[in-house]
Amino acid sequence: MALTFLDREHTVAPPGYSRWLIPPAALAIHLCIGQAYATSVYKDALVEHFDTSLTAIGVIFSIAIVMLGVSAALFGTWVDRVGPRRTMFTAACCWAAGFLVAAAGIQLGQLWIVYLGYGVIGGIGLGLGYISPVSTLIKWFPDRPGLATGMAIMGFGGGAMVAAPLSRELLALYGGDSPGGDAVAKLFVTLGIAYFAVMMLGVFTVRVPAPGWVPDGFDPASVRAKPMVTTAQVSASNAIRTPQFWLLWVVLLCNVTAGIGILEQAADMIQDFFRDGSGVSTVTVVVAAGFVGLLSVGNMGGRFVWSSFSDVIGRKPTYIVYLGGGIALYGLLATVGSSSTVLFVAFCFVIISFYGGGFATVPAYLRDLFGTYQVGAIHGRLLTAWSTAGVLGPLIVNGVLDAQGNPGELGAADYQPALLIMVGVLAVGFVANLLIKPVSERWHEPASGRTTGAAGTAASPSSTDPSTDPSTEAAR
Amino acid sequence: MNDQPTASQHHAAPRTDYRARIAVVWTVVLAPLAYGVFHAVKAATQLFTG
Repeated sequence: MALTFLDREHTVAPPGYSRWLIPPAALAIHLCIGQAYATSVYKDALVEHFDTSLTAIGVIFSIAIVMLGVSAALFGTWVDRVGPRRTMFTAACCWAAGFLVAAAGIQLGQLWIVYLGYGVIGGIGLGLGYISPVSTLIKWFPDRPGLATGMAIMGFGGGAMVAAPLSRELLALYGGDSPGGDAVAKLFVTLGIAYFAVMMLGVFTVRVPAPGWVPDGFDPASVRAKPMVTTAQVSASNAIRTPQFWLLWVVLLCNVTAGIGILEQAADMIQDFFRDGSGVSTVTVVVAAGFVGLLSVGNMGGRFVWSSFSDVIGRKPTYIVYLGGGIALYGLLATVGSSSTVLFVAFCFVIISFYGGGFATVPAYLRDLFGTYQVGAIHGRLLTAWSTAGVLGPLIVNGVLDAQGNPGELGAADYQPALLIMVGVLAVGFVANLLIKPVSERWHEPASGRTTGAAGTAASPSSTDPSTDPSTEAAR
Repeated sequence: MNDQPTASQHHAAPRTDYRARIAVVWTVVLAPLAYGVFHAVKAATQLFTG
């Protein structure tokens, strides 16, 4: 087959390969695809260029996020089979091609080509890129899976922080003070080429651990001693038949829905919360922009900090903190949030850090419940909860706010119903998390005579190619 | 697990020193991330100064 250097067998790490090369490989991918959350920078230019509505331009992003969930769910098993390098390479090709096709669409004045390029092709790159390094990281860091996935998924939050100022500077370079569609097309070509180059760094750096590899000083017995961490393996097709998968799906859905509720409205919300007697907001547009900047730091930082913290206290208690803490903070936001700007900002900052932490901790939670065998594929299927929350969160908040009054005239009290609904949403997630128990043995893959290692280590089926390993085939 | 090679057992073979490579790849990813964090923090400071 062409491009054999991408094959899994060519990516097995040589003896002594440092596992600290894997997180930057994963970061290289996630930093690039995180650009998806920086589309607001050029939205207005595209509206003007295509002479269309903001909604029509927003559809580009919506298609990309839907394709993220769909491709992660559909290609997850393929990702686990072919390994991280081929997946990352495919993701890089799709992501870069998405930008180039979209640039052509802008130049030709054909919005549907932009939908196809950035939305469909780029969206597939998003999905593949998002899940590609996760299972590899978990195998390299069986002792600290939360830290490992936190580092990678932190990159997704950081990607938008990099892309937003970079895109603004490039747009100013290409289009001056009022950049049009031509400047956006040039921006897309530049980003496509640059992201492809950075993602190639990940492609050529990533390695899978050799069968039997365990890190120095790691005692697999320490994993076996934890009640909520399995040493067995569950396939993706079996995982989705377990209540644990769907309970975790609900947990992720609720956590993301609540977080998106604030993220979507952040700038408007802080201005609406603090109005003087005449209805004029005491929070300026500049301060509101600062609030959004602070939230993006909380979102990114929470991914790393909370996910690493979950290695210490366990995944289930961590989600009790996210969801229980979220309930308390949303309740406080609804009741006393308007009493002080400092309190308001502090509450929102912690809520958003829980939102980011929920994304970063979930792969390690999956590893604990289902083992490493097809954790990438299972993670891909779970991401459909994200796509669902992406629709549900804004729908709830916008629906409630629309019923309360007109934008620009809302006050803190108008947000109360939406915030209390989020308390309810988080309570559902809280209960779902409490109901999660270890997966029944009937869903475990047969041992097939092989020594079963600790989760994520040497002897798990996923340490070798599950598609070609005869003992794995026999186990199916 | 006794027949499983561990990182310690790999010590017997000559090992490549990956420190320079680790420094390079981390720099490549952390430099743009630092650029992004700088701009986000700069925007966030407007919350207190704006």
